[in-house]
Amino acid sequence: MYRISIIIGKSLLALLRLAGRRGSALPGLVVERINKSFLKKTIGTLPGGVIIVTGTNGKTTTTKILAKLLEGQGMRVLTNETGSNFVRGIIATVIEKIRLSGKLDYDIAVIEQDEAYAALFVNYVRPRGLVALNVMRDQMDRFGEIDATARLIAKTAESVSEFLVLNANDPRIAVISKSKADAKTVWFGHHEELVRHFVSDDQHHHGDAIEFYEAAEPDVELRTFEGSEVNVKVGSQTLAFRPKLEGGHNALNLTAALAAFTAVCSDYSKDALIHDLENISPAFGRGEQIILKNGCRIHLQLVKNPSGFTHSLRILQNKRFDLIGIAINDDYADGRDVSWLWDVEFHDVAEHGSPVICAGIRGNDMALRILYENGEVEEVITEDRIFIDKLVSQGQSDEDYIIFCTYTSMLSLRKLLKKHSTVMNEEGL
Amino acid sequence: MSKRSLSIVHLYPAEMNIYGDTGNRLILQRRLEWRGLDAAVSLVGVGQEIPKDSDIIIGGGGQDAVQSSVQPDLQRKAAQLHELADKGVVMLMVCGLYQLFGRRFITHQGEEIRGIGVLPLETKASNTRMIGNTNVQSEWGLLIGYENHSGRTNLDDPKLALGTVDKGAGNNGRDGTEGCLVNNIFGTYLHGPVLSKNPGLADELIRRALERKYGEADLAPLDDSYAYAASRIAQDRPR
Repeated sequence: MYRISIIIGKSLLALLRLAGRRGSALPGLVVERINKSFLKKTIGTLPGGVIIVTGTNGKTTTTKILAKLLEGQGMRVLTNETGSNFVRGIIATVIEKIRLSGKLDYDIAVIEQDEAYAALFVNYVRPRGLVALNVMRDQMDRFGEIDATARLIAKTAESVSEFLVLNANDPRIAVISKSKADAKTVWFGHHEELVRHFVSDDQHHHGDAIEFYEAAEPDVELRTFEGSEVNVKVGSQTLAFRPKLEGGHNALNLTAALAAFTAVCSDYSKDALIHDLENISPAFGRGEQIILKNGCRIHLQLVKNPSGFTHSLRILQNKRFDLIGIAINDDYADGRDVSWLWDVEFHDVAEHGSPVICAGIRGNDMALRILYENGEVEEVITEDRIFIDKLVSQGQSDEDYIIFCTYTSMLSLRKLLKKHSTVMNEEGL
Repeated sequence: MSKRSLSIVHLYPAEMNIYGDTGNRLILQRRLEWRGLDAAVSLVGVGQEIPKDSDIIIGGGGQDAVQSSVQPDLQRKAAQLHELADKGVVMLMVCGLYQLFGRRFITHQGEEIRGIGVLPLETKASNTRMIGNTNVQSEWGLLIGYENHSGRTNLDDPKLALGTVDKGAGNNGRDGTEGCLVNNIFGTYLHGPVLSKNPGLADELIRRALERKYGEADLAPLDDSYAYAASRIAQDRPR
């Protein structure tokens, strides 16, 4: 049954590729239906086990960092790079990477998991460890409440066999340490002096005075990220490095990944670690740059929820962009309810002074939001093809454009941009 | 002649703000400012006083955990809210506060949570999540929004509804009513936020408040083309 699943899965994958459909999780969906123990028999047998990374913001980047750090130490790491994080997406990833013989040439799996699906995923495979990053308002129409999301992550933690890596500064995450009393907990967090950079979800929405919360002294603690040097305390030593990944949120992702790394590796090459920390580049859609044939640089930034979007917009304070695009779709993966846009602070867009184009299926809702911020919108273009054609025709070689986009919009825009670009990023376009 | 102004009060902005309803406050504020009128905005939370000169009071939905701190405080404000309602102060209550403005909410366990009874309705917890894009026929055209609730609200009199559901569940998924309108108290389950794609409704609130305060209201029209474009697309989106 297991080998048949692989054959069926790989055949579907090949057919879809012939049809030009990459990234479909259909093979995963089919195998999920016909063989419930597929994941258990595949990644469930890896010697290093399965590490799950979950939380509202930072999953994809933290997963990528952790995978690279472990690879740098010589491990073969199976991971779902493109962020396809529902169960069927994981299965599809395994189908792609497994040999026809059933052999999986990996030592360990680091899997990004959607907060709700992680609780289901553990029914298929018992994870060795769980990295829980944060809980923030995300697609409210799927979860209903952020406390419910936190409870789902706690449920996932109950199934862990070895360790939990938890955010000491997020009370909803910190309480998860009680879910599995016999699991080892590795705390990560940031120093109190950095608190203003990491406003919590409640503070973001309530506009409270900023308070610092720390459930426990972090084992791995972000000390500074001023300029381009990041300092992280790891146990009794301090690591200093200059990462390519920019910004406070990424400094914290690096900290979380380091914490998970120490849970997996007690013995490691520090040189390799520093080298990897400095060389990891942005993940799919998280600050990637696509360079058009005419030389114009398009920066893509995925946005998913109010706090993430507000944080991402801060880049407009430090860097000049010649055009700001905001592409909002409302398919299932984007969030069907666009009300969340009204919990995002858009003054950075209104004040930047560059032309703003609103795109995506709900581009008009986005334009409305900007108008109420007393900002100006040059145009609304709901057809992605027309939007990209416009960017391509007016882009100049010395210009930087930034596009903030929701998930399915990101997929569509990247595919269209591929035709007009010269540079592929690490994962390939 | 001094500028006309309206006092906009946002009730429980910190506790009941879960689905972008804070946007309703910004929308009212701007629609006044764009017409050269002043908007004096106050935020009133737990333990704080509602200004006596309130002209429009708005409130939204929250997480269940938080409603337990809001409900007792709302009881303390009940007398004043009744007085303001009787004086014709305009109010817009969405979702959680819409429910608490009714007489009571009955939980799954059969426990009764008291509302303040400003609106003639009761809500009962159910196991059905009524969620999705919602279109409602009303006096101000088709109202476009997004509902997300599992409470079933029953009006004492269905004729007191804000509108009838064209697509979606509305108050209870059964009788086709959505929301409630009594005097100047507007209640609804629509998020969006509700005033974003329904500028006619936003101006109705403003007009009633101005008429009450100044005896008449002459609202200059605004360019609402993005709202109409957004509304046309939203109304055809899948449920």
